[in-house]
This record gives sequence, structure tokens and C-alpha cells, in this order.
Amino acid sequence: MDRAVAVLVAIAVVLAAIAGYLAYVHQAPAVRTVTVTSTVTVTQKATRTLTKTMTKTVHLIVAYDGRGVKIVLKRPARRVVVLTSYWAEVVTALGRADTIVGIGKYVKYDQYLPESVRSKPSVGSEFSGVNIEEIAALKPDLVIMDYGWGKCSEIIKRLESLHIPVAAFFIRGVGDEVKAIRTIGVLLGAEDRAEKLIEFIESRYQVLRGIASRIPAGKRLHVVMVDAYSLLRGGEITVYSNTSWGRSLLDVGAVNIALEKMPKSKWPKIDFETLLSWNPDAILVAGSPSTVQKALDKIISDEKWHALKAYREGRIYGVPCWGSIGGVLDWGPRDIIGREYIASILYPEYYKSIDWRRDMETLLTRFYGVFIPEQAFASYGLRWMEVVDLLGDHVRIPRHVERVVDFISYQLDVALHAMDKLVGISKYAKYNPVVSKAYPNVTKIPSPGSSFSVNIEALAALKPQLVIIWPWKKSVVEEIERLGIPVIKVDVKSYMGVKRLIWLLGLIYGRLDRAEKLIHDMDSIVGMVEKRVAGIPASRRVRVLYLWSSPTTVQGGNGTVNDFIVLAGGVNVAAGQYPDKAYVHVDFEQIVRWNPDLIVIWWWARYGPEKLLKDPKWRAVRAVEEGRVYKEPFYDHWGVGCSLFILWLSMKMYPQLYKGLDFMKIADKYYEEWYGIPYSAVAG
Amino acid sequence: MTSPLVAEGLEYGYAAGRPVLAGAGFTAPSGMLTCILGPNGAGKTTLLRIILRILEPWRGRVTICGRDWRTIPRKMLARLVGYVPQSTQTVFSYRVIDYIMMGRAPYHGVLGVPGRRDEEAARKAARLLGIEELLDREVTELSGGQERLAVIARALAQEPRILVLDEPTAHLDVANRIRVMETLKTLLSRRIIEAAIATMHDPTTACLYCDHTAILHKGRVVAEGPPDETLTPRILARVYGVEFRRVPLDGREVVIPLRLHGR
Amino acid sequence: MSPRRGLAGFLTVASTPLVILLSLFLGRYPLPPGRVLDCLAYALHLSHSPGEAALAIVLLYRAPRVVAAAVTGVALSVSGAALQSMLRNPLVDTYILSIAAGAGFGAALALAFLPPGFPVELLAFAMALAAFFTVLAIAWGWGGGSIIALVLSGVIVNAFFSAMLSLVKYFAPNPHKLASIVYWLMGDIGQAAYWPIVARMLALTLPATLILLALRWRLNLLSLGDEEAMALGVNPARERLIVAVLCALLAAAVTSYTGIIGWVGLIVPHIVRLATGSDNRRVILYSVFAGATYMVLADDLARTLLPEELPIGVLTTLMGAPLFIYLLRRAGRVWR
Repeated sequence: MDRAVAVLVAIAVVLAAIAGYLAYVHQAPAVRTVTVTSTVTVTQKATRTLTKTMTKTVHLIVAYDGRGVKIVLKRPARRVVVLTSYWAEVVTALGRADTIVGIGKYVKYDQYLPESVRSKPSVGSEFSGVNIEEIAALKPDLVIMDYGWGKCSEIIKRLESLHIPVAAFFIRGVGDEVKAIRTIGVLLGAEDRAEKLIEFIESRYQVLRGIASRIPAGKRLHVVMVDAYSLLRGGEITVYSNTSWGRSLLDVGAVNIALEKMPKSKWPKIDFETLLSWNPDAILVAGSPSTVQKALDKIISDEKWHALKAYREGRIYGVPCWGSIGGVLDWGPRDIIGREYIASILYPEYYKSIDWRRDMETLLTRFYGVFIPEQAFASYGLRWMEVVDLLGDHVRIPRHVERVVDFISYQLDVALHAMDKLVGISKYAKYNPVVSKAYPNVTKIPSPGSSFSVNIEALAALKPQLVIIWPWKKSVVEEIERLGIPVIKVDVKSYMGVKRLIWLLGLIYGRLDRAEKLIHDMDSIVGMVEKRVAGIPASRRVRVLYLWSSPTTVQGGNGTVNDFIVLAGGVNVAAGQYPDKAYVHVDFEQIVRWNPDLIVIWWWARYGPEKLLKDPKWRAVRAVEEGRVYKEPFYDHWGVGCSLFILWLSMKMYPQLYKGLDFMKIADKYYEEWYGIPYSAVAG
Repeated sequence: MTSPLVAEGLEYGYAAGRPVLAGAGFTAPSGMLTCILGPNGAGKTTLLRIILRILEPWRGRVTICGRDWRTIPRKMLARLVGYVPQSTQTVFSYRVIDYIMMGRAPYHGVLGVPGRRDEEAARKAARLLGIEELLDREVTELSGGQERLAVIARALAQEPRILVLDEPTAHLDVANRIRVMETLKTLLSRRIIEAAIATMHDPTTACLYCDHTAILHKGRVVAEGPPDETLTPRILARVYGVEFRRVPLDGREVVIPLRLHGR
Repeated sequence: MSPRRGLAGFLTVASTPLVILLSLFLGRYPLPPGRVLDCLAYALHLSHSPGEAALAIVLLYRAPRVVAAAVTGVALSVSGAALQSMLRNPLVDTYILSIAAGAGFGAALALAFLPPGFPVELLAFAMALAAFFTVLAIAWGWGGGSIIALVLSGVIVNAFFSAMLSLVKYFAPNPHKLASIVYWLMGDIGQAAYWPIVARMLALTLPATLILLALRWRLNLLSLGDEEAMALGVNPARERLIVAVLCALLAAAVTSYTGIIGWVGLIVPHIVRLATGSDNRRVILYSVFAGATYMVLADDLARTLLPEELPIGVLTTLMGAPLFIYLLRRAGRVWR
């Protein structure tokens, strides 16, 4: 007996020892982390001291602008006035948008610039003159502007008389562009970033020149680039000669006839007979996206243009320019993208490796800090435009889209006011709660099927100009394409994907303005959420599980809902294990293992929280135990409502962060704005 | 003594207006092997099916052990008449003992399961047919003759008073044919069964084993009586269209088919 | 009974409780065997609670799920064995009674058009029986209850309800409902892992199973064919009707809760026949145990084989097809 007791005690002691050791081992890393953190703090302090010393020793900043004028600053410019949008874009791309204190009159129309820059006080324009007093009142330590046209030289003279440093540029090609960026980089103390931007531009320029040099002399197209506005106005036509744009034709391996004939002029005017006598191989119509479209329409309707070789051979193209969305060619960082555009449209067979849309998206994302995806950009022919769908495929569609069959994104069509363009719609559309309430006439739109199966003859009978479909089945897409109807394929996996889709639809329907406003609204809600949850450390983030049609079918790490959970500040517990799944059927035990804090049930599911709450086995899951099981208020993941869903999710995760916020009120207002019906009419 | 089985005026057809049996009738005398003879398509099997009440005749009746067979419940009928079909098609294989035991069905209700008494009966039936050593084999493993004996054993397990056999010798080799027919004779002589009715298409075999014959032709019995009187070359020529000759054999006569009639 | 068959029978019977018990130790949730034993002891009031999560996993999830799987296996196997015998056809199971087609149609109908509160299994059950009674009406009303009439009407009604299912899928008001229907059709025992559902399944299947067990020798007689069965004093049309009703009830009861699980009713009776011979006195009895074991094992695989749960209906079919080929090669002589 005694011996048995002794053995038991011995075992107990050993176990206690092991437990103690384990506890120690578990604690150890925490202690180590503390040490590391303190080291970091010390290093930071040291660096700060070092920087201070350096600023004391570095005395002056010296740079030369486009005129060769030496500019001397005591320290990097902190109060900058930019008179044109492209120099504002350069400043923004160099990460110094916050230094801009005043802008030229037209800068505010540049949609690639952040709102903060566009709303700065206007001081006039280079074209019609500036108010020098206003500029002086802004106490700028640098003015960035052009020289060589308009009232530039007068403005420069007056600014310099006031001892305000001026950096002025005129661009005749990518080389000038690079120099200007480098100078501005130095003046703003953003040399590193300037070099990165230059690297982005130069590497692409080299590829372009490399390909251009391989185009044989016999294949060099003789091209004229005309100004769309002058063409619309009638009378003499402005053409681009010895300017950056005029010279861009040489960069891509073409011959600019205007430059050959009038090498001294920048923007010469010619009459139509001259153009006819030049009889170019191709004509580029440059201007703002909307002017370009109108100019191309005019060429189609004005029969005198039909005498041109370029017209007969279908080589008249639009080149969207400047700062409204869709504009590609401009001075500043986008100059290189514009060249890529011209290269691709003149010589598609040579420039296959170049993807100007993707480069544009990269430039905007990486340097401008805005998300305007490749789907927002089209290239224009006389009768067509080419867009890129959600699968990244290039699709050529008519420039004016009036007859569309939409199998998938009809809910967004309602928000974009594009329902009048639909001649056919998915058979499921009339059961969609939003569509049926917001657009009761949906029942009058014929339905040739759905993304799953299409009645090809019924579809053909509707004579659509394009079809928008979810490419669930490759054969369905191919069948439609065989009819010669362009197919836009739509698949969305993230919040960004939703935005891509909205841009694309806006572009197709000619509703970019509404698309932009919609995205702005969505971003403002999501931005508010992101700001509120930003400070939550990873360890305190709410762990969420999203359930689909059955309580054991869960959302994995792939798909919109996963992205929404992350944006709402949560952690999708299923994402780690199933990173590339959207719907996963899992074992109940797996859910107990994850032990989520919050469970959200799909709106379409046939069950609700009560099913989980009444089944005793679910009590092993923390979310159920604590009663944090919710059915989402509505299902609108691919549309306008996704930002509301993100807000709702975040409010369920962190109610303390949203005290006093009335979700339904926000949602109702938002839905009224975009669908014309309150959220409460469909949600619940 | 009444005959164990009397059939009268049986009419039946598989399609309306085209009778297979047109007033057929015969008597199976007690202690005898009654042979129903006729060429293919004469209606022999149909006749047996009516006797077993698998088919309901249009007209006519059968009297079994003195009772109209319509008044006998199916289960009771199965205790009176045991049936040996021409060929059995068991999809699933059973052990021979289990197979024979199925003959005990008429002694059980719907929820019944055979017991020791039934196994005794089955073994006894097997013993009578000399197939005890086969009892643990699978039915599907048996030879043609063995299988036929097993089926007869199953019918005997019903402990019937009358045994009805459809072409018991078909598809059997000579030795097995003799074994089966001799077994039938033994069963009758030992009074294990009161009467046996077998259909046959071969008059020669009938001559050798039968005690009583009914010749079926175009749905009617054209001759009934002892083989000597019924199996005459004249009748057989009419029924089979074949010329037969009577040949003496061990003090009796048998008929042997010679050639097609009229050649 | 031969010693080999005796052993096979014993192993079959013994395997069931063993597999059921072992299955309680299997799962994605990490529970050492000791904890599982603690849970079982707690259930028998022998020890203190080993923790909420462990208890929920073992007693409220694994246990009802394993039992539901066992009940499903029993129902499908016994009805499959009975139908094969009575139709003298080793290649049928309850699909010939159009149970799965009917249940699938009913479930789809509920999933597509009825409000979320409506229990799917109710319409699945009702439609399974409706399909079955259509088969009955054709087979008995028009074909006199013969084997060929039953098989033919089964094929016809099957085709009809499959087409109706496609129609429901086609007219489903949105693709999400379509997805739910597809999921349902693939089968899921997990949705029956809830004691009240298990109790309902048991209440529906236990009486029918017991009656079929009692009828097991009659199935031998039916397997001889109508003529011989009648000669043995059996009324085959009547008894076939009884068996068909019982089989339909069994299959409908489990299918409406678990979705369509194919091939179990086909495979298990064949395995049993290979082990113990074709006599239904053994086949039906051992199908109860073998069916339970097979289904529980299949569900164990579905639960644990891959990180995500496999649809049980797909798994049983994937397992069944090659197994069936093997059985055909091994056992060609057992039936013919």
C-alpha cells in the first residue's frame, strides 16, 4: 500500500515538473520579444539624431530646369504651386502631393489626381494668365510650370522678379520627361522616388524603341496626328508636329508627315486639301476621350473623309488624352503609357508584348496611389473600342453600345442607369429582389437563358452588340462567340474585382461618370471602416466564419466574402486551411477546431442562427455559445451593397467602434441613392 | 377408389379467340404415372399450369382428391400437389439443403422460418432420391441430372399426394433420364406419392415408363388410356406427323419413330 | 453451416459495434483517446465532464453522426438485398423503386420554391413515396405485379422524376438555389448528426427492418420466380408488394435526411453473399451488420480522408464501382 502511494506521488512530482517546464518554455519567447523591441527603439533614436546632424551640415539644393536655369533652394520645397496638371501628377507620383498649396485653373479637372490636390486654390492658367498676388500670398517656395507657349514667359518673369523660384519645362520627348522628373525630385527632396519613376518610364521606353527599330523601313506607316477639337470645330485642322506628341510617332517606328513637312512648327494648322494630298496611311485623332468619340463620329458621317486612304483601310484611331479618366496620352508620367498606346494601335502585330492598360494600372497604383484598373481604359478605332474584361481578355465592341444582353451584372446595370441598354437579361434577373423592385420593367426584357445555359437562337434573335456573362461553362462562351457577338466575361473575387467590374460597365455603357461616383461612395464607406479597425492588433482581431448553403459549407480564402471579412477588420478562420477555395464542405469538427468568435450566415441560406443555437453540439463553438451568430442582412456581394456588407460585418465584429452609428439609416440612404429603393425594402 | 386428379373441359388461351386448350380433360389414376404426351406447342405446359392454378382457365375444372381445386387455398394446394418445373433458373445460388427446404413453404405462414422438423423432411426427401451427399453443395454447382433430382426432392419436401412434372427428362443424358424415371416409379410403388403426372414429348420414353397416357393434340385430348391402346401408329401419325412402328420388347411393345409421315 | 461461413458471419456481426466504437475516436478535432473515453464515461455517469467542446464533439456530433450512418447503411443494404432477391436481379437496389429520383425531386422542389422554413426532408420523403406509388400503380395496376412490370415501371418513373428534377433545376429562381440542390443530391450524413433526427430516422426504419428480417425466408421463395413460388403456395404479387413497400419506406426515410447515397444497397448484399452464401436468412441478417459497418466506414473516410469533407454520395459511388467489378470477378459463380 505504502509503495503504491509512493509511486503515485513520484508520478505526480514528475508531471508537475514537466508542466512547470512547459509553462517556462511557453513564456520564454515573450521575454525575448521585449528585449528585441527595446533594441529597435534605441536604433530609431540613433537614426533620428543622425538625421538632425545631417540637415545641419547639408546647406543648399541646386538643380537646373528645362530652360537650363539654375534653381537654388535652402531646403526641399514645402510649399509648391503647380500651374499644370501633369506637373501636379509628377509631384503626386513622387509622393509629395502634400506640398502643393496652389494649382493652375485646369488642374482640378485631372481625375488622376487625389481630391486633396484638386481642391487647392486656383491661381489662374498659363493660357490666360495668373494672379501673381494670389500666388505670392500662398508663400510658395517653388512654382512648377511650362515655358515656351501661352503666357508662360510673362508669368516666369513676374515670379522671378518676386524672387519666387520657378522650375519651368517644355517636353519634346521622353528624354525631357525624365530630366524634368529628376529635377523636380531633387527640388522636392524625393530623389529616390524620382529614380524609381524614371526607371519605370525608361525601362518601358527602351522596350518600345527596341521593337520600333526592328520595324522594316517598308512597313513604316506615314501618320498624321490631328487634334480632335479642331476637327469637330470645322475649318482648319490642328496637327501635332514638333512636340512630344508629334515626336511620339517616331518613337514607335512611324513617320509623322507633319513633322517631315513643317519641322519647325509645334501645332501647325492645315486645311483638308493638304491632308488629302498627304493621304496618310493612318490618322490618329487626339483629344479628351469624349471629344475623340465625337470626332470619330464626325469622320464617319462626313463623306469627304471617306476619300482618305486611312479611312478606306480602317486606319483611323482615337487617342484619348489628358486628365479625365480614360485619358492615356499626356505630358508627365503618363507620356510613356500614351506612347505604348500609339504603338499598340498602329502596330498591333509588333507590340504584342506591350500591355499599356496594365502599365497604366501599375503606374497609378504604385506611384499615384489610386486604384483605376485596366478595365477603365479602352482603345478606339473608327467604329470599335477595345476593352479588357474581368478575365483579362481583350474584347472589341462597338463604340456606341445600345443593345446588350447581360447575364450576370444586371444589378449594377440598375445602379449605373443602364437598364435601357439591355435587350436581353438573365432569366434569374426578375427574381433578384433589388432588380425587381428598383426596375419593375425587368419582366419585359426577354431572357435567352442564364450564364449556365443559353438558348443560342433566342440570343441571336435579340441581335445584341455584346453579351456580358459569367464564364461558368467555356462552351457557352464559345457558342456565343461563334455567332460573332463579342463576349465580356465577368468573374469577381475581391472588393477590387467589384470595382474593376463597375469601371468596365461604366466604360461599356458610356457611364464612367456614374461609375466613378459609385466607386467613390463605396470607397468612402470602406475607407471609414478601414480607418476604424486600423489600430486593432492582429491578436485581437475577431475570427469569423462565413457559412453558405449548409452550416458546414464554409467560405475559404478565395472569393469576395473572404476579402470583405479582411477589409472589415476580421480574420477568416477558414482562409488559412483553404486558401484557394470559395466554398468548402467541411466536417463539423473542423469548425469546433477553428472555434470562431463570430459566425455569419449567407442571406440565401434556408436556415438561420436559430438552427445553430438550438442544436446543442454547436455550443462547443464560441460564436454560438456567446450568441454571435448572424444572418447577413442582404446578399449583394458583386454590386453596390458590398461596401454595406463590409460595414455591417465590421459593426458585428467591433460594436464598440461604431457606437451611435445606425447601419440601417446609412444603408437606406445609400440604396436610395443608387437603386432608388431603401435597403430595408429588400434586406432582412 | 376415386382418381386423385381429374381435369375436365379445360379451355385457355394466351390471347382472346386463340385457345391453346380447347376442352382438354384427363384423369390421373391412383398409383400410376400418367403421361401427357404431345408434340411441341400442343399445350402440355399450359395444362400443368392450370392444374397448379398458376393460370386461371377460361372454362372447365380440375378435381383434386375429390375437391374442386378452386375451393382449395393455394397453401393447401401446395400440400397436395408438388411441382417439378422443366427448368429452374435460380439467379442466386443456394445450398442444396436450403433449396430443398424451400419445399416446406406450404407449412409456414408469411413470417415463418423453417425449423428442425422441416430440415428432417428435406433430408428425408434427399434420401429418397439418393442425393444426401449433395446436401452441402451449391445448387449452381450441380450437374443437370443432379439438379433435376434436387428439384424433385424439393417437390417431395412439400409431402404432396400428387407430383406434377414438366418434361422431367428434357435435356438429360440417357443415364440420368433412366435414373429420374426409375425414381418416379419407385416413389409410386412405395406409395410415397399417390399419383404422378408428367408431360412428355417423346412417345418412346412414355411407352417404357407410363401407366396411363393422355395424348394432347391441338388443345384437346385425342386419346386416353393405357399406353398399349393409345400409342398406336395411327394416332401418333396424326398427332406427330411421323410414321411409328410398334416393336416387341421384353414381352411388351414400344413405338419407334421411323420417318416423317407421307414420305 | 460451414466453418468458413460461420467465421465470416461472426466477423460481420462483431465488426459493427467495433467500427461504431472506433469511429468515435476518429475526426478532425484533435481529441486523444483518453478524452474520448472520458466523454463516454461521462455519458454513462461514470466520471466528471471532460470539457464542453470534447463532450459536444463526441456525444453530440460523432455519436449521432455514426449512428445516423449506421442506420442509413442498414436501411439501404437491407432494402437492396431484399429487392435483389425478390426481383431475381443482382443489379438493382432501391433506385428501381424510384426512391432516390423522387426524393431528389422533392428536395429540389423545396429548395427551389418553398420558403426557407419548410423542412426539405418532408417534401423529399413525400415525393419519394409518391414516386414509389407511381411505380406501384403501373406495376401492379397495369402489369399484375410481375417482375418485368416492376422493373419497367421503375425505369419509367425514374426517368420521369429525373426529368422533373432537371426541370426544377432549370426553373430555379437563382443559381444559389441551384447550388443547394446540387449539394443536396450529393448526399451528406453530417446534416443528420443531430439526435432528434437520428431518433426520427430510427423510428421510421426500425419497424420496416424488423419486418424484412422476419420475411427473410420468404425472400428465398420469391427469388425462385413466380411460377415456382406459386407452386409452393406463395402469393408472389402480394408478398412482393409488401416487400416493395417496406424497402421504399426504408430508403425514403434515410434518403430524405441524408440526400442521395448510391451503390450501398448494391454493394453490401453482394459482399455478404460472397461471405455467407445467397440464402436470405443469412443475407438479410448480415446485411444489417455489414451495411452499418460499410456505411460508418465510408462516412469515416468522408470525414477524415481530405481536409475538406467529401460528399458521401460521391464517395460511395467511387468506392462502389471498382468494388463491384472485383465482386463480379470473384463471385461470378455465386449467381448466374
